[in-house]
Amino acid sequence: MTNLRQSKLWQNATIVCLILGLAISITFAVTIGPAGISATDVWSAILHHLGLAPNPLGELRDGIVWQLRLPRVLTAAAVGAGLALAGVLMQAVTRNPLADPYLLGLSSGASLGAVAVLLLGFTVLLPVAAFIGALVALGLTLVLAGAFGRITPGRTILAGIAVSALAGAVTSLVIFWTVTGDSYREILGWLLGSLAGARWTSVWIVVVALIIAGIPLMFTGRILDSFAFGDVSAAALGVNVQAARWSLLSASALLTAAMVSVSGSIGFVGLILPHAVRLLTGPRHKLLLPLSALLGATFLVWADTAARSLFEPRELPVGIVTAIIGAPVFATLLATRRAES
Amino acid sequence: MNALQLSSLTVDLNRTRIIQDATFKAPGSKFVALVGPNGAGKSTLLHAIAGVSEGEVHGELHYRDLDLAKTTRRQRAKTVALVEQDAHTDLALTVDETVSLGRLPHLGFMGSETEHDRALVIDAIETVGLNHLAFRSRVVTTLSGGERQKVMLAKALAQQPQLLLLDEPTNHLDIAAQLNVLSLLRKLGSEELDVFAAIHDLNLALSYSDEVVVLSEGRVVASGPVHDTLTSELVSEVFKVNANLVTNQDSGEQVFAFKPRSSNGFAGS
Repeated sequence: MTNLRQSKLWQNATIVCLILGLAISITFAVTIGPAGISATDVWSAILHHLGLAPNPLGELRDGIVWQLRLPRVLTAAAVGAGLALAGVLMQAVTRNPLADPYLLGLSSGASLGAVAVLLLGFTVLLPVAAFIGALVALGLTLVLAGAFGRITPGRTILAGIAVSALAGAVTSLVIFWTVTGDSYREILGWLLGSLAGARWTSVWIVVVALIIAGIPLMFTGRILDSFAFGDVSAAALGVNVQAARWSLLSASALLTAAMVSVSGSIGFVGLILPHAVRLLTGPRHKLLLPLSALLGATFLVWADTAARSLFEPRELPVGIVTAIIGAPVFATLLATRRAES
Repeated sequence: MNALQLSSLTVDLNRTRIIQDATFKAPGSKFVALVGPNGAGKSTLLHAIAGVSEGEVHGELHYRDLDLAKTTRRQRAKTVALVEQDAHTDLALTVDETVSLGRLPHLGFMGSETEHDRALVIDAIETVGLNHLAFRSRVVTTLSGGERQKVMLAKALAQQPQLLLLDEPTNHLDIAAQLNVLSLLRKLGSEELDVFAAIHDLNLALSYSDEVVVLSEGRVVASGPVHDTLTSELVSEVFKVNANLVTNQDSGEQVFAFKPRSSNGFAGS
């Protein structure tokens, strides 16, 4: 892996390969399912809807590709990329290897919002409620973290834990008190993370979030690197530590809130995936950021495909699958990399 | 010519005054030692000069033609570098990657490393005496204390500073590594750099530094050429011990011999 760490040619080649891999993964993920769809069908449907070709598939199969599978697979890719990016960011800014995108109470806040609308029956408003819930939790965490002065990593983490615990407890209370029968499965599915409800609206929400927050974050590698030896060391290199921490935390929180609003809280991707990629690229962020985003996208595309097709017609929440596939993969990587070094 | 000039500098941390009216001038191209008991405010003073203080800094702070209080963060980082006490990371950065961090003020957040930057990084690693090629790809968390300190020094040198600040650079090092680092600092100080370092060991300050600034309870109590300034009376008073200057029979150098002050006030010479 020394090559990947040092040679620009290797780095660019790797990025190009991963982009191609993601495109191929998306195509094949759409073909998987009960109705037989080929890779050629997928691209004909895409070209048709871009106005470049006539409709070759017929109403029904075109509907399956365009209305159901493609938006779901694209949402999975965008959510995977966003969570992995946010995970890298949180770990760098808090200097904590256990940090994940949900650290600031975001997923608990989103869950509370989501559970509230699910129980009240306004399922259409779910993304909005989850997004608002996440932002309220984030606001509370930051107020709590900054209430007594400067925002430090340790204080931010503790404030996030407090807000998570509170929102989690209220969510549990609401569920325990009111939920019966079928809505229980619906709510549990959302809490464990699921892309079953993904439509084009979801795609737009996550893609816009990726463009607004994700792409600028790709260029913050050098600032993130400067945090390696702590705040004083970053400041001595000319970084405005407080401003950088505020803006990076806010950007990654917005990104996460958008992801959570369409997918619920999918675990593992934002916590472990950055570590897995770091084993390949080293800890510097210039390469770590794009590679994490691309691998996160590819990983979640396949995890979600497995979640919806392994036990057909029954569907698993994708959050279960990410952990079941991800943990052994990561363990293997960890073991082999240690043996090498 | 005076390099570093402080005038009535105060630093407040959480509404407690840590540095009180610090005023001194330090000449250029010298190794200046900052000495004082624990809690005297050495780190706070260095942080204030480096522009990384968490507290409120008031007063005048000039370095050569530059008013440090009015420079941008980036300009300051190009002029002043700080080697922190016990800087630490959990990340598996290599020596090369760590030293490259020092190029940040010159590259900005977006610029990409050029051949020139690479050359400066390698040059910095060679200057601190870690010139084996294989060493550059070693991971910093696996290094010995002395090696790590040199890597942090190389990172500071890669910033191409004019003023190098160090906070107890010999902390946790064995005696050979201490002498090694100090000789290097003296060499750097006699060349183009101005070196200002907090040093714990008074005998090392005495034998390696050119000038000294003595800090006690947040105040500068003395400053000037080391042998004129570090008298046994001053050291005894500031450090609350009985200090005597004795002459080393072999080298003819003067060193301090210390005895504790008796708490009942009877003992002592």
